[in-house]
Amino acid sequence: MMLPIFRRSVTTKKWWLFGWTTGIIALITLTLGFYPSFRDQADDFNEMVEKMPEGIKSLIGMGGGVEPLSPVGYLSHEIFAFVLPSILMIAAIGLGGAVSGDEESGILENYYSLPLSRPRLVLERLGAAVVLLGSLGAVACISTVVLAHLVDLGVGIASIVWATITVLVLTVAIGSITVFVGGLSGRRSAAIATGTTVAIAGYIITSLAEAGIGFFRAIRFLSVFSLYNVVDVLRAGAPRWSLLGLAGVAAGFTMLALLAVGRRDLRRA
Amino acid sequence: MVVESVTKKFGATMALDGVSLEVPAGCVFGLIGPNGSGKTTLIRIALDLLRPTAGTISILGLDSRRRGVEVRTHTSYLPGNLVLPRKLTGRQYINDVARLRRVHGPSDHVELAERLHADLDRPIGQLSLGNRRKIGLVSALSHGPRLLFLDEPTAGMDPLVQQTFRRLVREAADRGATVFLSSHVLDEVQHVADRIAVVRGGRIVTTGTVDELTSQLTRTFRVSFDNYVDPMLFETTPNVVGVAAETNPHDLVFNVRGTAGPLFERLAGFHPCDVHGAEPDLEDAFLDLYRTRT
Repeated sequence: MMLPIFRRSVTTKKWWLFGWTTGIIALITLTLGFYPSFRDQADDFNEMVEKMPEGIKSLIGMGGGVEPLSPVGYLSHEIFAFVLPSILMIAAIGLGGAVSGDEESGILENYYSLPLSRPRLVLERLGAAVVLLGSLGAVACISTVVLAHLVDLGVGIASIVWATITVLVLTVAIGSITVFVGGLSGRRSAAIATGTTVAIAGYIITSLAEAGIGFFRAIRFLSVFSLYNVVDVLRAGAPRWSLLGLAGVAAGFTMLALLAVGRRDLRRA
Repeated sequence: MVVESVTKKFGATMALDGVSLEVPAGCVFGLIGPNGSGKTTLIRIALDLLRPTAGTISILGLDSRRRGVEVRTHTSYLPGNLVLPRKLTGRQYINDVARLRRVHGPSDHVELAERLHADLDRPIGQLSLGNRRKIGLVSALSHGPRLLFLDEPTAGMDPLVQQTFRRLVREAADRGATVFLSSHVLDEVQHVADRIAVVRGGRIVTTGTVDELTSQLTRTFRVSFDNYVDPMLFETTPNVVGVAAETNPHDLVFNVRGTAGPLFERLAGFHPCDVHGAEPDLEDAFLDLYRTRT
């Protein structure tokens, strides 16, 4: 079989995949399983959240002009606004940082001494990361569809599928930024620190921008979360144009990563 | 492999300073030098893992920088600081390398593993340093590369395996492969290399065959006579750089650089009864080069 690096990068992650899959199923089951018990207090809770300052609402993922305990609101705030992106971004940053981690450890010295270009190796590793993240996304999507049906949430399958795809593209974009910094520096710590900072700072900037704070509205374009409007996707049951923006960020940083890794000295263990 | 004026700077540190070398095809070439002298840097530039500050390396007529992927289809490399994927078995790793080399059909790695007593079926993470290096060596020697770069190849291996390694290197050279051995352990190079270069501080100090290198050395001859002979009588003999009496007044010790013929001609007139010459080795050559050129 061709693409041995892609294949090995996937097959050596069986236990990794098992652990993350179990965690995601458990979390989604727990989160959506409680929905019926909240549904009866929806009016009181929605009223309480309505009185909160916009900044707080945005930071705790309850902004976006949707009632938090409505079906779309609950799914958005409890799964797609914070929990699932956080989980998948941690996985994406870890996978993205592993490429430079293998360079630092010296493993890539063996592979780069073979008839294999550096961009191809990075591309195979990125491809494997996308497949692994996609598997986690598929598990999250199926779990959400099943649980939504069981608790009678009343949100269509298309909405959940497109929302999951939007989360996945967001996480791949963050992962590609991580790989780019790793490709530029050859340092795992720099790659992971940057990926994490971009994710956390982006979330905070977008949340505070949504709360109407002038400075953060002005710099909102710097945040990848400004392209992540999952509430609209859940409402429409179809992708938004901003998905292309996220895909563009992912593709752009992937290209930069491929250029960066090919232009410098390989680090040595 | 032709190395032309290769310079490599890491910030303010000069790792290689205008190194030029020519490694003939089918030759076992030893590059010796102390730690940090630039041996590994030269290999990594040849494989396009590092980019030279100046100069070029051409391998099999191909520029190693511009046509790196093509060059690396003909080369293999055993790094000095070998790190292999811990979760894979040796067999899995070697098979992956074969796929990346696009090698199809029968492979010689099983036979090589048997000769080196390498365990191909345990996860690499469970192997000792020496056994991990055996996996790296099997991988480097498999699939008939035309140029092998072996950096400190026998580190951590027992003497029996080192013997097998020397035979394997010789067999590879006999098949027409070029072997580029780098080591600071002189014994590793001395018994197998056809030609040697000594590198120090990023510069090539000398190159030549083992014999040429040893002929540059100061060799020692202990000569016994039936009666007392004055050492001063030999001070002007060509190539004799030192002469001294031993504790036994009938014995003299001569230090000779270059051929010993003039000394033996001079000695003939004094009827020596015994001559003992110590065979110099590369260790001495190495230390000598350091002493004389620093």
